[in-house]
This record gives sequence, structure tokens and C-alpha cells, in this order.
Amino acid sequence: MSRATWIVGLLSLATGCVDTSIQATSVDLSVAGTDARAPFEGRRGATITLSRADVAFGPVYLCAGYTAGELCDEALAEWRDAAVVDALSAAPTSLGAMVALTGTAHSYMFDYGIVSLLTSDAPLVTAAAESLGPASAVVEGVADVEGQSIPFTVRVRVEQSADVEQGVPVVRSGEDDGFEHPIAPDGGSRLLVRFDPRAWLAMADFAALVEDATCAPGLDVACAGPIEQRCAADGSVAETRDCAALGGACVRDLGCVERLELGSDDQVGRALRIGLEAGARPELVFE
Amino acid sequence: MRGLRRCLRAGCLGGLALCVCLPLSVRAQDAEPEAPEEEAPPAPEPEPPRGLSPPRIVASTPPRYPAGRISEGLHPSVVLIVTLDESGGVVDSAVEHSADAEFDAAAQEAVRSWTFAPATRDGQPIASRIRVAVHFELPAFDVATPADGGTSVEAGHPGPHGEHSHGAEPSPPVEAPPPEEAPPEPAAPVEPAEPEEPAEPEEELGVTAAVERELRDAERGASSFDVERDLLSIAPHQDGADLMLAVPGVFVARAEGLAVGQRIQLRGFDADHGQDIELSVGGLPVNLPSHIHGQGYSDLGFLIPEVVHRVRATEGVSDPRQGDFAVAGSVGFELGVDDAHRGWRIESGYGLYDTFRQLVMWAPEGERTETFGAVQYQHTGGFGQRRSGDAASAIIQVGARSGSWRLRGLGILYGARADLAGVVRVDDVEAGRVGFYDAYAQPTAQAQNALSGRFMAGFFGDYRGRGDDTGAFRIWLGADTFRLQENFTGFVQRSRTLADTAGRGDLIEQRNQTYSAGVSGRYRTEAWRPWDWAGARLEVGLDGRLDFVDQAQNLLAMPRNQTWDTRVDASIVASNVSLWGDVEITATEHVTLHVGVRSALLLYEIDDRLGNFVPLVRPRDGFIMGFRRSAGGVTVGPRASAEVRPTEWLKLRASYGEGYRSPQARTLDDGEAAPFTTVRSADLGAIFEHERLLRVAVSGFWTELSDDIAFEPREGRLERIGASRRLGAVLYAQARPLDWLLGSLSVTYVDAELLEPPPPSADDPQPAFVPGQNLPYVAPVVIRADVGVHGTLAEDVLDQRLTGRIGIGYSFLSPRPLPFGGMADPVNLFDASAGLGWGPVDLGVSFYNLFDTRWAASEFLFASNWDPTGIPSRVPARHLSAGSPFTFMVTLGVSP
Repeated sequence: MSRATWIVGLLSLATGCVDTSIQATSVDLSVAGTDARAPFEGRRGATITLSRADVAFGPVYLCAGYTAGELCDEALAEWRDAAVVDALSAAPTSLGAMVALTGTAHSYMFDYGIVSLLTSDAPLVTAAAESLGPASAVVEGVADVEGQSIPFTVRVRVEQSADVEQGVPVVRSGEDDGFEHPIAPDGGSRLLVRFDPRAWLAMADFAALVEDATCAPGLDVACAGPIEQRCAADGSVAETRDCAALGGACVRDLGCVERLELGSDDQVGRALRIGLEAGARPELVFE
Repeated sequence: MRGLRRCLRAGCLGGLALCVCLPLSVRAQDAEPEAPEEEAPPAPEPEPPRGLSPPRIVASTPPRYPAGRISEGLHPSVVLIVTLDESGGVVDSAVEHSADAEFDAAAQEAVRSWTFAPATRDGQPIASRIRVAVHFELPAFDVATPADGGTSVEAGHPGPHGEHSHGAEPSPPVEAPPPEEAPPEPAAPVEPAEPEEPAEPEEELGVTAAVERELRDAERGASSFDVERDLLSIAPHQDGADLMLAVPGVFVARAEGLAVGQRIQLRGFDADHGQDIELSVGGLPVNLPSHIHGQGYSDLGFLIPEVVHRVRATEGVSDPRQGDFAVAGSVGFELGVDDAHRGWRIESGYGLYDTFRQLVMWAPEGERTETFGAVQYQHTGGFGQRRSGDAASAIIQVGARSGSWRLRGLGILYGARADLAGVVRVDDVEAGRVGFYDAYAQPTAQAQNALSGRFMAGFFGDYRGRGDDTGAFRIWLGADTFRLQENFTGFVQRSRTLADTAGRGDLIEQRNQTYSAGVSGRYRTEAWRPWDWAGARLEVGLDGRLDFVDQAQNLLAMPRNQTWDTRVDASIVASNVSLWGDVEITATEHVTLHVGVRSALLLYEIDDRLGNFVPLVRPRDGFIMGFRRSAGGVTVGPRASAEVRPTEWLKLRASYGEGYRSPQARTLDDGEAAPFTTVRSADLGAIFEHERLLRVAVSGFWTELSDDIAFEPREGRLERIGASRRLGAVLYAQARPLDWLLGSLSVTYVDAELLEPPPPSADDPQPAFVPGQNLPYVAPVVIRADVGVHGTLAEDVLDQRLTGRIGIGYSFLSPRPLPFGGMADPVNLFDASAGLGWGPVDLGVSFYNLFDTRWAASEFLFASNWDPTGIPSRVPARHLSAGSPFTFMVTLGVSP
């Protein structure tokens, strides 16, 4: 028997019989978007062309239980940071290593750069979210609908709002998600989080922004296609102009806009927020 | 090698094969060997001449009963005149009163191995003679009380300068003669030597030595160990509990400061604060049932090292006297002050980190070993942040004899308050966010502290009948208070009572008050000897205690300690009534068997004032809080052991026992048959011993536990983790090869496996433990070595003898598995001490952690978040509580 064998044997004795219990490990975390610069069809016949889809991603936790959230107070893996992800770039970008334990992850939870803390009523805005506005996501593009092209920018905050869930990440998978991935020892697992920004805007109703209207008492402005109508007090049309000719679009209640700025309270913003939270979560791919 | 040479001269080594190793007793008593029918009162002791101090017996070993004479059933005494030189060495012995040639020779052989303190004149040692009576007893039938330290029966009248002798230990079971066989006699008057002339060897001082022999309970299990005072005191000790380091398989650390109990490991059990070890001090039980900080919580902070006479450990379960919490085993501290240290002692010590210790001890000379009083005060500024503390304890014990009874009273009072540093995350230490010896800066971490207080008192009686029957009783009272503020997890808790409140800091407040009373008694019959070569004895006993426990656990928010959540609010009345029986059978002088059984009835009444509470339910009248209930249970466990003595120097032992740990009362449902944690334990071993020169014990053990428990940091207490199994071996050696050299070594290996941890559940989908994993917190290998030298450096330095001593202790803990697959770092610790004695003055210095090793006194793996403003961590991480760095203390002692 070689000396090395003896040494290994003695070390095994000194540390007890080596068992196969949970071990510390790591998971390589990378993110990727989708090459979605080509126009795609949105709700009610809108054609959307994206030029920017940045999202603050993180922190993220993988959990052993089938339901994340409060029941994941001891996670299997975590990445305690946030980064801005270019969701229009399909090339994976490494975010580093998640601290992890071996086991099987059955659920996950994460935030979009704005983190609810147990210790504070105000959420923590990470540097990544701060760089976006602060916001969790910024989406820019052009929506072609009803013959108009609407340049738009949507900037939304996605954050925990329920008091009773203070301190819990906003995106949480459940048992129905069927998430089940073993975490290998010795850093043998890779997790790719892939975003598809097209899905974020699936519920965005750009058509509603350009619905035709005519001046009426109480209205300041109305749109008839790309034509902006400034309304007089008696409901008559006081002034018109062609927004398209000005390089913009006529948007309901706003009139001509060069670029439509939308936030979390707008329908498109709400749709984006809901998409990020639920309907259009990124895909977590284990390798 | 003087002792060995003496022994060689006596031919005892060469005659080993011929010596018959039988349990015998020894007692040197008065010169009269004949026993009167009734015990006579002791006569007044004549005063020795001024300046003349008689020789004293320091240690003795029992004589060997001549093998061929056992059947005669004799109890003879041989009176010897022993000549001592100036160092106390035995120069010669002459028979003054003969039994016959065989007994005379055996007595002379025994006396040659005894240790004497020389007579002195005006403080200077002189040669002298002493009259010694050596008494022979037939083999005895003793029953061990491993955790019942302090129980012993007097063998004879304590002579004027008599003293306990423990030199025979480890030894065969010894038995003391009944009083009528060992009557007290007036001591012969002291005849002074010529004051102007040095005493010559032929001068007889006329002092009669009386060796009082304790009725030591025999070691029974294959893994039973006695550690005597000389071995205990080799290495320095920061507190009394550290004495246990010399017990094989034990590691002790005080991770939570002066006011919280030590964390103890014992051969594969992380006993935490003692839940798996039945601890007793002077016969008083230490474990507190259903304590909020952990079942069986024990704090040995009150223990004053200088008054610990012996530590007896029974590892495993083998004895019917082992009761609740004897899962890993039992450890008993016997209290007493030996003759060499009697009188007044005032000792002050000061060391690094503003550490101060003051000891005042008084052990009246001429009184019994167990009679003493000691008071200790300790203060430390702490080796890191929030580690300061103060503690004080007082122990008073008085022994007396009345007829066939030896009576003893013991009182202990203790109080301590200390700041706590808590734990720090290893990754925070490595990143420089917090120092290894620091505490987190958040107010919730800076508010950690503990307070404890304890009072115990007991009255003990040991009875020796006219035959060789014995008995004992114990009545005791106790009161304990405990309050802890500690934060393990930082900021991860939410309030269960205030729905919208969270993250105020996980500062757990635990409060526990226990009032206890107990009584026990036992009786062991005379031996029934149907044949010369065989006999049997029966012992029956009863043990009962009643505990009133009031406890609470809350979460406190800083800065004004507002209670932002309430977790426990309960009162418990727990009673435990145990009965046991034990039969001892001897067959020839080679075999002893014990077969016994212990049963216990445990009853609980629980007032759980938060019972039925449903968190986050609105309105609050949707439930009715409070759940009063009662529960009880019975456990019965066999205990058996066998000892075979094929030769005088070899013992083979096997033992098996089933013990139990009582449940945490709050976990019981109404009417539930109290689930006991049962332990099955088997040991097999061999002991080689040659008097006090060398003792080597090798044993293997197997232990299976029905329900283990481990520390749960979120609640700061112990929680169930399922069945477990341990398999291991112990090597232990004690050696006193030279008069000035002694040492001990123990190596313990254990493979500890978790068999059936709780399965994943919705609440705990990823349990910290999986079947088959190594038990958390348990070091597979524990090594302890102690080596000490001592002796006379100069006979006459300014009219006083100058003595010196050096001691080194080494502890090793192999890497310990942690929950979630973590592994703690190994521990290597060297402690050392050195001292000089000059007459009544003693100057010493003690070094702890000599090589300034960074080590964790405790290490855990769990999720925490110590950054309240950052992204919280949820993955379990390593946490540690730092052990002491290098430190030293200089001690000046005076024994006026």
C-alpha cells in the first residue's frame, strides 16, 4: 500500500467515514436575452419593434421546497447581487457563481433589482436598478398600430407590495411550475436565465393608445389617426396637426408625442410589470 | 524510579503471576488489632511537641489478600513500625503485631508502595518512625455510582493525622470493615525527638497513622475512568469544568461566556450543555430537566477546581444507578481537599485581558477530606468584544461521623453575568467585515448577554452495617435562574404575534427558573455465600425528584428591549421517580457479574400559555390561547456487566445497558405517553494496570439512540434530529513512572451516524440532515494528553523547601461535520503551567492556547443575515464563536 493511500486512509479516519450528505458547491450563473430586434406582433394587431430591453435581475435564490417565498428561508443557492441584463442579446453573459449546496432545487425566487427587506419598509434599490432610472426594466421600441408608429419607452418598478410578504422576493415559482433540478457537487451545475422581451409586452395594448376620438366638451385633445385635434371648450376642433409629419404619433389624451414615456401606472407599464412578475418570467435552464 | 525500585525490591513485579488479585481493603489504624464489640469514642489527641509535625500518609494501596487464605474468612490486622527517611520514603518496616507470616509479608509489601509526607521539626523534614496498622478484608461486592460522586463510606476512625488515601485507585473494588471491626482507638502519644538533635531513623515519633479508606464504588463498565487529583491538576484550568478535559473522549469549551454552560463533547455525543451527560457534583445532580436553553442544561461554572478531588466518568450505560441524561455517560465530580492542601489558602491571579481570580479556601487541618469551604470570584475583560464577565461561587462541605453513619452536608451558591459576543459568519470574517474575536456592530448583537444563578444544598448519609451491608441516602434542594439574550441569525425573523412586524433583530430572550427537590436512598445487603468460591449481593434503590420550571422565550427589539414576538410562555411541573435493583454475583476471585434493571416513572404538568396560538390569524378571538395538559411515561431498562480477572494485572470487562433521556415537557401532548429517548449501549474492553505505576484501558463501544437532538439556531435551543448510532474505541493510559513524573493520554475515535432524520416536509423541504450522514458537531477523533513533572528543587532556601512543577495539556479535535454538509476546522490546543513553591508561598503562571491558535469554541452552519441594509443571505453559512487566544495568568497563593 502506498504512502498516499495510507495518508488518505488516516485522513478519512480522522474526519470520520466520509459520507454523502449535503455539500457546499456553486452554480455558474449566466443570463441571456433573445434576439428580438425583428418586429413581432403584439396585442390587437400591433407590430412592435424593440430597440432596448434592459432588465435588472437579481438577487436570485433556488429553494429545496416546492413553494418558494417564506418557506425558503434556507435556500439551496443564492446570488446576492443584481445586474442589468440586455434582454435583446442572445449571447449568454456570466454573472458569476451562486453560493450553493448540493441537493435538488424545486423552486426559485428572485427580484428585478428592487429588493424588499425585512428590516426596512423601504425597499433596497440596487445599483443595477438605480442605473435604469431607478427601475426594474426599461423597454424601448416602436409600436406600429392603426397606421401609426409610436416610439415608446416603458420604465417599470417591480417590487414587493404586500406587507405580509415583506422581505420576500417578488417572483416566486410554485409547485405547478415543475421546476426540479439537482445541484451538482464541485460546481458542476450551470444555470442560464434566458429572457424573452417579446413576451413581456404580450399584454400591452398599444392600440388603446391610438384609438380614434373626436373633440367633445371636457376633452383637451383627441386623435384621429395621426392627426392631433386640439379641442375648444365647446367641444369643437380648435386646431389640428399631423403628428406623423412631425416624426411622432398621436396618442390618446396626449396628442402628438415624439416618444411615448410610460411608467408602472400605465396600461403598457402594468402589462410589462405583470409580464415580468408572472406571465413572462425568464426561463431558468439548468445545464 | 524510586517507587519502581521499591517494588522490585519487594519482588512484586516478579511475583505478579503468583499474586491473587482480589478485592481487598486496606486501613491503617490504631495499633490494637483486636476489635471491641462496641465502638468507642475517640480519645483526645495528644498534642505533639511544639515545632514537631508527625509524618502523614499521603497515598496508599491496599494489601493483597493471600490467595490461599480466602476460604478462612479472616479479617486480620498487621501492625507495622515503618521507618521513613527525610523525604518520606520507606526505609524499613518491622512487624509489631503479627497476623501470620503471609499477612505480615503482604502488609509490608503494601506499605512499601505507600507515599508518606515526612515528619518535620520546625518546618524541616526529618527521619521518623510511624506505626501503621494494615487491615485485611475479604473480597467485597461493590456497586458503582458513576454519577453519584461523593458517596462513600468510612472504613475506620479517622486518626488524628489520618487522611483519605486514594493511592489504590484504580484498584480492585475495595471494602471497608464495619465499625466494630475497626474501632477507633486513642492515638499513641507523640513522643518528641530531641529538639536539638536531628531525628534519627531509629527514633519513633509514636504517631499512629490512620488511613481512612473510602468505600469506592467499583468501576463497572468497560469504559469507566477515574481521574485523580494529581492528574487533574497537571494542566491549568480556566474553570472547574475544564477538569473534564482529562476524561477520555471529552472536550469542553465555553463558547458563550462566564454565565452560560459549557459545551461538552463525550465520545461521539455533542452533549451541548450537557443533555447527554448525567452530571453531578458532590452527589448533587446538575442537569436541569426541560430547561429552555436545552434539555438537561448544565452549567458547571460554580465548580472551583481546587476542591475537586476526583472525576469519575462512566461512559456508556452500564449501571442501574445511572439515571436521566446518562446517554453518553455519567460524569461525577467528587469534592474534597487532600491532606497536602489543607489549611487556609488565599490565592490571587491576574492575567491578560484584565482577567482576575480570587480564591479563598479553608480546609481545617485534622478534619475529614470532604470538609472545606471555598469562595471564588472571577472577572474578565474578555479577549474580544463583548466577552467581559463576573462570576462568584461558594462551596461549603462538612463531613462528620455518627456511629454507623457518615454524614455530609454540601452547599453551593453561584452567580454570574457576562456579555456575549455571539457568533460571526466565517465569510464575514474572511472578508474583513467583522473581526474573528469581535461581535457584530448592530445594536441587536451588542445587546447579547447572560445571567445565571444557582443554589444547591444536599444532605448525605452513608451507612455501614454490622455486616458488610451498606446504604446511603441523599436529600437535596436546588434553585436555578437563567436569562439569556443571544442573537444567532441576525435579521431573519418575523413576528408571529404582530403580523406586520419583521426584521427587528433576532435577539432571543430566554428565561428559565427551576426549583428542585430530590431524595434518594439505596441499600445493599450482606453477601450471601453459599460456597466459598461464590457469593451474591442485592442492592435496591430509589431516586426521586420534583422540578418546578417557569420559562419564556421572546424576541427583543433594541434599543429598549421591546418584546416584538413571544415564542414560549410556560410553566412545568416535572416529577421523576426511579427504582432500581442490582444483583452482584462473584464466582471465584476471577469473575464478577452484575445484573440489574432501572425503571422510571416521569410525570409532567404543562401550562403552555401560548398553546393553541395561530400566527397571523385575524381577528385575535379566532382562537383561544392556552393549553394546559399533563403527560407521563414509564421506562424500564436492563443493565448488566461482567468483569473477568484472569491475572492480577488484567481485567476484561463487558457491559450493556439501556438508558434514557427525559423529554422536553413542552413537546408533549395531553395524555401522551411521554416518549423517552432511549439509548442502548454496549462496551467491551480490557484494563491493564500495575498499581499506580501504569494503567492502560482499551475499549470499544456501540451506542444507539432512538432520538438525537441538535442545536437549532433559529430558536436558540435543541431540536430533534432522529435516531443515531455510534461505533468507536477508546485508548486511555495513566502513568506515574517516576515520583516526579506523571501523565495521561487518551485517544477516542468514533464513527457517529445519523440513521433516521426527519423527512422533508412543507415547512422544511431541505432538512439539514440526511440519513447516513455523519452526526453534526461530533469530532470523530478526540485526543488529550497531559504530562507533568514536579519535585523538590532545593531542600533549604531560607529555611524553606523550594519545589517546582511544570505541566502541559494538549487537546485535539478532528474536523467536525456540520449541518448541510459543512465541516469545521480541527482544533489543536496546548495549555501549560509552571510554578514554584517556597514554604507557604506558591507562585504560578498558566498559559492557555500556548501557540495562539485561532479556533472556534463552537461552530455552526445555518442561514443568517447580518447585513440589515443589504441583500439578505439565505444559504446556510458557517458561523463560529471564537475560542480564547493565547492568554496567561500569574497566580500568587499563600497558605498561612
